[in-house]
Amino acid sequence: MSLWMYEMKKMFLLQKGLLFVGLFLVLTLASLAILDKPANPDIERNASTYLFYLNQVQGPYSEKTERFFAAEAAKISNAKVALQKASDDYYDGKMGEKEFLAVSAPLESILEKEKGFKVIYDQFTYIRENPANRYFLYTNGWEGLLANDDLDFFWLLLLLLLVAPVFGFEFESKMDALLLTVKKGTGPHTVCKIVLVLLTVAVLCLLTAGLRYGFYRFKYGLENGNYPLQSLSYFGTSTKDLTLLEAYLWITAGKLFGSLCFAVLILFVSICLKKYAVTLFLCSAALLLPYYGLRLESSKYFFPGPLGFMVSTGFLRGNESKRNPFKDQMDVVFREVSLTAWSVVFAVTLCLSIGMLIVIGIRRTNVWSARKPVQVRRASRLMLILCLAVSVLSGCTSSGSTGTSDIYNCSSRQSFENERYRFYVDDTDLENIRIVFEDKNSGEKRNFIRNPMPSLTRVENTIYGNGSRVYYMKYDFDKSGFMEKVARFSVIEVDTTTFQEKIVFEKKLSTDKSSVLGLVKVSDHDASFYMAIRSFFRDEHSLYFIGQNEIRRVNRRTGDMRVILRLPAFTNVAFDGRTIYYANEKSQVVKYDTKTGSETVIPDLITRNFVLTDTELLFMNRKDRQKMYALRLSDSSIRKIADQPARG
Amino acid sequence: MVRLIPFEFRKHFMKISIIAAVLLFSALNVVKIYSVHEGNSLLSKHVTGPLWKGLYWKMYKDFGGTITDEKIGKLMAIYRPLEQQTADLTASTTHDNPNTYTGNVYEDFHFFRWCFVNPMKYAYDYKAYAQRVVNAAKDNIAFYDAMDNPYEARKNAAVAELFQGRAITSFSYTEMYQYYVQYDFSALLALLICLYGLMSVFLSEKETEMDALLLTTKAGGAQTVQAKLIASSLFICSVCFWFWLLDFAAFSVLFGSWDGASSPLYVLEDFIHASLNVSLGQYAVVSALVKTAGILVFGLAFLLLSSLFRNALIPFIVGLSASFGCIYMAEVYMGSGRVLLKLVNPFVLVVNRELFRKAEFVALWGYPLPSYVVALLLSAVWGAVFIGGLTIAVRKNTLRKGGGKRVFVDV
Repeated sequence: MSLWMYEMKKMFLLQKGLLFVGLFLVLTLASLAILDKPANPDIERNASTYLFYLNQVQGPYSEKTERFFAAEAAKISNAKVALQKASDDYYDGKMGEKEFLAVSAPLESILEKEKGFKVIYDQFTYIRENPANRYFLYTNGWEGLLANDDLDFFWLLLLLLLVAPVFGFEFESKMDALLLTVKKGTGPHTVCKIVLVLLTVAVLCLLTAGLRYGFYRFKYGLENGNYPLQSLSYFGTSTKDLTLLEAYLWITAGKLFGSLCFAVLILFVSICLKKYAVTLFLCSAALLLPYYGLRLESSKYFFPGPLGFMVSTGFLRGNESKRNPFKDQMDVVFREVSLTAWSVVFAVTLCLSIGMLIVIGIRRTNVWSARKPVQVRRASRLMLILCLAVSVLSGCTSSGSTGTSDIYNCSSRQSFENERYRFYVDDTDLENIRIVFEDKNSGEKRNFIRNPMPSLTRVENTIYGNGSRVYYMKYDFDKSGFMEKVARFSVIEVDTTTFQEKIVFEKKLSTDKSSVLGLVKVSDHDASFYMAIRSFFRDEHSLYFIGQNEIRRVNRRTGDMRVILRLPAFTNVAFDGRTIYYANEKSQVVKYDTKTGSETVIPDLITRNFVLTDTELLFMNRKDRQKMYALRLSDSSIRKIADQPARG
Repeated sequence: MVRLIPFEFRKHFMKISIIAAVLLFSALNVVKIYSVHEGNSLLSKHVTGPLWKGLYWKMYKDFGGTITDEKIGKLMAIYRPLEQQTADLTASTTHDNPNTYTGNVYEDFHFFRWCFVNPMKYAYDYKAYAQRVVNAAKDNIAFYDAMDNPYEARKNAAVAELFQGRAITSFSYTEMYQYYVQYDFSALLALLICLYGLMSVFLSEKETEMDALLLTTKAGGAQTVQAKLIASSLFICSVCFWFWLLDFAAFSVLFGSWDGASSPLYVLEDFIHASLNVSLGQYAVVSALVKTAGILVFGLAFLLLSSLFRNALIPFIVGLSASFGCIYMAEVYMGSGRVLLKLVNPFVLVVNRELFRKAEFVALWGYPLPSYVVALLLSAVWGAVFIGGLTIAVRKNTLRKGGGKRVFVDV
């Protein structure tokens, strides 16, 4: 068997390299499949309308685009006004049904695209800042692929597992000295090992890069690779003149170079120190400590070593700064790496790697050391390696489910009544607006929130009730710096028989990286949604949050969030435990089945103001001068309740 | 066995590599603390410019110490006009205004607001806030008794007792403690050194195949294992205390103040609901002890891992992954109200501000136990499990029976 084959067999079979590679690939794919979330989820949620607009403006910015956006914005706002007017005319009897349908249909189709237009308009405002190198394109694919500087922890572990035993295995079994005495045991053997390691690392690195590329191409699509890099906001201020595809290739090349350097570092340390533990310790510390320890994100790119190259997206980022709250100035949070700085870092890293390879070659010769290495020499060697490493561093279940559910009306989200108590928001004292409950028998009024420690917590004045269980939502804050920051959103269930509280849903909202190592990342899009929740209700498995003009369903267990309904402004929403009722743009009341996802328009019911009860839907009839009517839910019969038009 | 402990300690931990790593990591730690100061402190020239520091200490002479009405009046006499001048954002933005302390009226406003008025107001108001908490808790006791919920009644009684008599009587410079209690990087350094140092405790003898030979000696079995465990614990404690001491010293020197040590823990606004009635100085000691306990649990896990394998490769990687897994979970549940899920992770002892920043309780047979007690108990359980696993995993000089092919003499 040739030396190559034997070394490969040793590396992949005897040292279980193949198993680790397989495990790494499975974990990488699984983490991509499970953890990957679109960079801008609003694009995916409004894919069809967003793409409708994108197809018209894709590419560079021009005056035509500017005119297009101005015209489209005017078109949408005019359509809103026109539809409202047409509805008013129709319900007031000034317009026939046929004419109304003819007028409203095209207006509705315009308004359906409103949310998608808002998403692309945000992109437009970004591009308008610097139209020369910012193009319109579908960004989620490229953002997912390029816009992060996360260190691949699994990749780091795989490299340690594969490379450390290459020489370490022989030192451990004391075969190293024996090998030096055989014909091919010195130079050729060492070269074979090094080349095999470098080849393996290169192939795996390219394979991983290819896998990621394939994943994002398959999931989102990676079109328009010839557009400038600055089209992605992550690289918005970069001065590098690259296309997206070129950037990907450079980043991959950087990762390849960094990984090869890291492999050489592992080989070097394992040859010098001959022990697994110290090799693994030094090499992992050389990457992890500067990665987590440096204050400025960009610092790691200015120091020679494998780390900067292994997360090489930062080499392509531009200067970024944030406003200093105390002085009228901007503080740098990311400093762009110039081409000169990059060249110096690259050259020094390359020289260090070549130097380490030379030392490996020298140490694997069979020139017998004439004298026993004295302690001082060993210490100085260790210090040298530690200093080298440090130079790189110093660079450095629904228990309450009863099957039936109380009716929820968004319009009465600040009150709820069960058999024993009445819960409502007491705003008689404007400086102390709070949720209270009143005992129906005694009339005694008490605070509903019993937490005796209210500081650093904000309870929202909205409740949802179902039988004896009443729910409220709160935000927790932390004040670790001098500013108070929101940390967490929670929905709390109160069992009103004993007033025992239980958390039914929690979401971390803190987006800063200061907590321990900053391993858990929170999407800004998600955080801003949770901060804008108006009201909520729940069923057995999910929570439904009413945000700005939409309802989102969040799975309580997985946290998976989906937009299920778009709502016009100032509409009511009601929920009976399974069906959501809401009024659409045309003031028709629509029933949405939460189990099947189907929508049904209730015929002959035109209103914006309605209240759902157990048996009826009470509404102000738009077709009869806002007089109060009731729709019986069992047989859909409608009856007039009051002959006087309702006010307010 | 007592003589074995220093021997084991010397053998495994008095290595040049470990000492060098401790020294180099210490240097790195100081650099990191320096960067924390430069990036966050209101008195750092990177954050607020060169003038604030000098001005702060000058003003501190007037306003520091016991809070009196006279001091408050004097401070407000400076602050109120600044507040009025800057309220409508029409004041001059020039930086050469001779009637100001910093040259700019807005900067003056920010200086007094963040450095003196806000912290002094918090300190002054705290007594009333604590009394409100006590009243609310006492009201809750009666309420929950009426609701037949004895656990909540007991919990509120504990809260009332904890907050009873709380007050902040003096104003001191506490910025150092504000960032000291949030600082975790040294824990990562200590964890890495322990991971490395402890790998060799059981493996060095396996590598040289001395483990079989040791079993034949008089003190080679359980006594050696005990000596190794004690020596390892000593090592972990020494590394931890060195880093915690270094943290404290570096923070004190860089932030330039030893003041505040006698102020109560709740003087830090993030600890407004602190679960302990201790001073900041005492908290630094308590926190160091609890952190050390946390690293000890991880150390025992590393020892167990290393005893299961013949070389350090897999145990090191598994230990590193497990540590990062625990850090990840600690971050997921940081600030969470799901207290038990937070406490079951031994890393919560390392990031122990989670245990002390808010009075949280866990129900045990209807009685509220403070979260830090539960965290310590759970970590003790983890430690016992790891020691138990270790005693099972280490090689023994007994004849193992259990059927034909499995019988072998382990000598």
